[in-house]
Amino acid sequence: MAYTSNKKYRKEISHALDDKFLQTALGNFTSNYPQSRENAFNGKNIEELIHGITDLKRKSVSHINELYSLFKQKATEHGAIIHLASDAEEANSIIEKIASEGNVRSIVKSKSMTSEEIHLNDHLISKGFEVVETDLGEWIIQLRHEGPSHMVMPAIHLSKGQVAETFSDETKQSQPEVIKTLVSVARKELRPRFLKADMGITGANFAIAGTGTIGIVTNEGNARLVTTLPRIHVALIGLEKLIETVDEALKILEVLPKNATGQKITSYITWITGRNECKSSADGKKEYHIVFLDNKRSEIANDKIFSDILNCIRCGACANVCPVYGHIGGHMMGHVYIGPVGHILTYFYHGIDNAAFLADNCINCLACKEVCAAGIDLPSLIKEIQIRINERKGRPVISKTVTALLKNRKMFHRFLKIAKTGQKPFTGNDGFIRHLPLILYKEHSFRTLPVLADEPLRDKWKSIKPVVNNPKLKIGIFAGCLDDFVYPEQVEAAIKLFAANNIESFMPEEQSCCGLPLMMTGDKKNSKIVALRNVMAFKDGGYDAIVTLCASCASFLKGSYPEMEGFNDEEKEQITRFAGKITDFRSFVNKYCSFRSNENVGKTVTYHAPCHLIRGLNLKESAENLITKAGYKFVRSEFENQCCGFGGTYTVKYPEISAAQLEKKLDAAEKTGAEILLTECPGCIMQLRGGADKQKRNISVLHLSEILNCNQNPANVEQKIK
Amino acid sequence: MNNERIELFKKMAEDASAILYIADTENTVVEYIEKIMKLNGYSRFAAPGMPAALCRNLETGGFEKIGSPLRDRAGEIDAGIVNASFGIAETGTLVVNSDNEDIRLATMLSETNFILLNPENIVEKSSDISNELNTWFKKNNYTAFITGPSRTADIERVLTLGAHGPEHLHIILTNNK
Repeated sequence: MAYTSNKKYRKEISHALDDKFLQTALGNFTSNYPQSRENAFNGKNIEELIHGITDLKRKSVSHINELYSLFKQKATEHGAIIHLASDAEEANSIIEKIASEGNVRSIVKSKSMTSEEIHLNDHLISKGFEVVETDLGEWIIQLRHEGPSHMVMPAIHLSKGQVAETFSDETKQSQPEVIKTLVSVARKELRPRFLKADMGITGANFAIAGTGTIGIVTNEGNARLVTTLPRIHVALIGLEKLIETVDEALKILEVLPKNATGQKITSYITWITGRNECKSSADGKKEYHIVFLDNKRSEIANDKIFSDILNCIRCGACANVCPVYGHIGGHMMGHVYIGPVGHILTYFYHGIDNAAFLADNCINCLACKEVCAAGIDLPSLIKEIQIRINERKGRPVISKTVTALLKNRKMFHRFLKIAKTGQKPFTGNDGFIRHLPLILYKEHSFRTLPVLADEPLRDKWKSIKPVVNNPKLKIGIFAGCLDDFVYPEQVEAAIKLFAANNIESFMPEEQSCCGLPLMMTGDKKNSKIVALRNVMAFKDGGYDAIVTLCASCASFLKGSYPEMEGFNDEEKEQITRFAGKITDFRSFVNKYCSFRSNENVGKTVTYHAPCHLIRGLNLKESAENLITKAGYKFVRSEFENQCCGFGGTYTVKYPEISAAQLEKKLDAAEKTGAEILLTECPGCIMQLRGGADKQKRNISVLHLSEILNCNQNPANVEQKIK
Repeated sequence: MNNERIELFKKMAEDASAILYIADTENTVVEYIEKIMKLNGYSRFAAPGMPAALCRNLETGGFEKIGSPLRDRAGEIDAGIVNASFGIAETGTLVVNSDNEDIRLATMLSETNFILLNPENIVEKSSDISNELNTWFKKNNYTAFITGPSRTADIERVLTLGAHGPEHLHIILTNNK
C-alpha cells in the first residue's frame, strides 16, 4: 500500500500496535529468534561465513552479465529455454505467452518473492488462467487477498482462528482452529491441484552459471511437486541469484536457513539441471523455461552505492531482529519486500511513492547490519534512500528544524540556553519536566523529559575541572549535546575518576553536536560541516585520546566521519587522526583506570547495551565484567542488546513505536529485580529514565560513570537511586 | 568406516525428526519395512530403482507394489522406498539422485518414506560431495537434498510434520546393495 501522508501511515501503525494477536506473534518470534539462530550456527564461525558470502556475492554481482551468458549457454545445452525480461511487464507477458502457447489452463506455484515483485498472479488471473499458490502461508494469504508480511513466513500476522475461517470459506465446511488439521486441509485440497495443473511456476534461490543449474530451498516439499507433476515448468529468477559454482551455492546454503529461521537446513533442496523426465509430456521430457528478471538489477549492479543490495539472499533475518518490525510487522514496513531490506528494494522495484515514509521509519539501531547474511550495510543504504526521497519529495519539517538548529553552533547553544528559561514553568523539582508545553503532543507523554541542566557543562567546565599535576595522559572530552546541556553530572563523575588516575581532561569549547541527528534526518551536507568543525576543535590539543560518554557520538565520530566524502587531503588526514583517538568511556576505563570496589553498597545492577556501542563500535565484551569489578551484583535482562526505542529524532517521528519498545525494555529490566539499570549512552538514559519515571517503575537508570567509586568521586550510589 | 561421522549423521537426522534404523542384513531391511507398514495399516508401496528381490519379498509379505508411472496412482502410495547416494552428517541430510520421476514421487507422495543409505557414503559436510554434484549437474539432472519429513511452520510458527510430502521419514542404514 502506498501511504499518501505521514499522518495516514502513522494511523496504520497505530492499528498494528493495537492488534493483540500480531503483537503476541511478533513478540514471540522476535524474542525466540536470536537463540534459535545461535543454536543453528553452533560451532561455526558466523562472521567468517558471512564474509565468504559477501565476497562471493560481490564478485557475482560485478560479473552479472557474464554469468547470465554462461548460464544461458549451459542451460540451453540441456534443453532449457532462457528468457530475459527487462521489467515486470515484460516478465509477465513472457510467462503469459508460454502459458497460452502451451495450452495451459491451470497453474500451480511454489513460493517466489520475485513473482510477488512483478504481481504475476494478478496478471495471469486477469488473462483467464487459474493460479494456485501451494506454499501453505502463500496459499492462506492468496485466499485472503493479502500480501506477505515476512519474506520466509508470509502469514506470520495471522492466527489459527483467522486461518480456520479462511479455510472454512474455501472448503465450504467448518474447519477447527487446530493447526495440525488446518495443515492437512491444505494438503488434501492442494494435492488434486498439483495433479491437474498444466504448468508449475517456481522461483529459485540459486542460479549456478557454471552448470546451468537452479536450486530451490523449501520445507514443505511443494516446489518438488510443482517442478515434477505439471508438464511445463517456468522458473522466474532475479538476475542477482546468478552465481558461478556449486560450491558457492553450498556456501550460501550453509547460512540461509540458519539465518532465516534458526533451522540447520530445510527439509528439501531441489537442484534442477535442464529438462528432466516428465511422464505426462508428449516426448517424456518436461518443457522447461527460465525467465530471468532484470527490473533495474543490472543498473543497480553498476551503482557505486547500492550494488551491495543485490547481495541479499532473501533470508529475512533483517526483519527478525528489527525492533520496528517486531512491533508493527511487515505490512507496515514494506510494499512487497518487507523489513529493513524492503525499505531499499521497494524504492527500486516499486517506486518512490510506495517507498515514501518507509525509509524514514528506521531507528538506526544497526541490528539488521549485524545479522545480514550477506554483510549489507542496510542502515546506511536506508539513509541514502531517505536522502533520495527527500530530494524529490522535500524534507519533512522535523528534519528542516534539526538542520536549522544544528548547523550554527552558537545559535544552537543560545537556543538551548533560552530553552532553559522557557522550560521553567513546566519543571518539577526532581529533574523532570512535569507539564509538557502544548507544542509537544500527547503521543509523546509516554515518558517524562529531563529539564536542561542549570548550568551546561561548557559553562561550568573551568570550575569543575580537577587539577592534575604531571598527568600520565592528557585527554579531550567530547561531551555531545546531552551530556553538555542535560546530564553534565555524568562527565563530572568521569573526569574525577580520570583525575584520580592521574589523567588530565580538557574540553575544547568549539565542539558542537556530533552531527548524527543531521544524518538521521538525511541531511548529509550539514553533517559534514559539523563534522569538520568538531575535528578542528580538537586538532591542536595534543590529546592522547578523545573520550566520550555517549555511545552514539562515539560511533558516529569514529565510524562515520572517516567515511564522509568531499574533503581535501589535509582535512581527511585530520579526520582520520581525530577518529583514531575517539574512545568510548568503558574501553578507556578498562585500559587506564582503577577504582574502589563498591561491594558494601550491595546493589544489583542490570544493563542496557547501547546499539551504537555494541554494534556501532563493535564493543563485544560484556559490561558485566566491569560492573562486577566495581562491586555490584550483575543480573542480565532479556533483550539486553535490543534498542531502547530512542533513536534520536526517531522518537519524535514515531513516538508510538518508540514507546512500545521502551515498555518492552523496561519490563525486561524490572523483571530482573535489579535496583539499577545501567547503560552508557545519555540518549538511552533520557529514554529509559524518562520512561521509568513516568511509568513509576521500581528501577533507577544511571550511566556507568556514575557508579564507579574513587577518592575524588565517592559514587554515593544510595543518593542516586530511589 | 568413520563411526563418529555416522553418530553425527544419526543425531542430526533424528534432530530433524527422521527415524533411524541400522539394518545388518537384507532380511532385516525387509523385516523393518514390513513391521512399520503393518503398524500403520499400510497395504501398498512403491520402490522405484530398488532391487527386484526387495520388492518380491515385500509382495510375498502381502503388500501390493505400485508400478510406474506413479503419478497415475498418486493418492495410493502408503510407503515409498528409495536409495540415497550420500548422507551429509552435519545436517543429517540424504542426497537422492531423482532423475527418474517415480523416485521424486515416491519420496513426495508417500505417507511414509523409507530411504536406504550405505553408511560408507556418509560424508561430513555438503562441500565434501561437490565433485560428485558437479559431475551430476553436467548432465540433465534432478537432485534432492532431503532432511527429515516434510514440514511447515506457516501457521503461528507451530512446527507441523507432513505438509505436502511424507509425514514420516525412516532412514535405513545398510551395507547391502
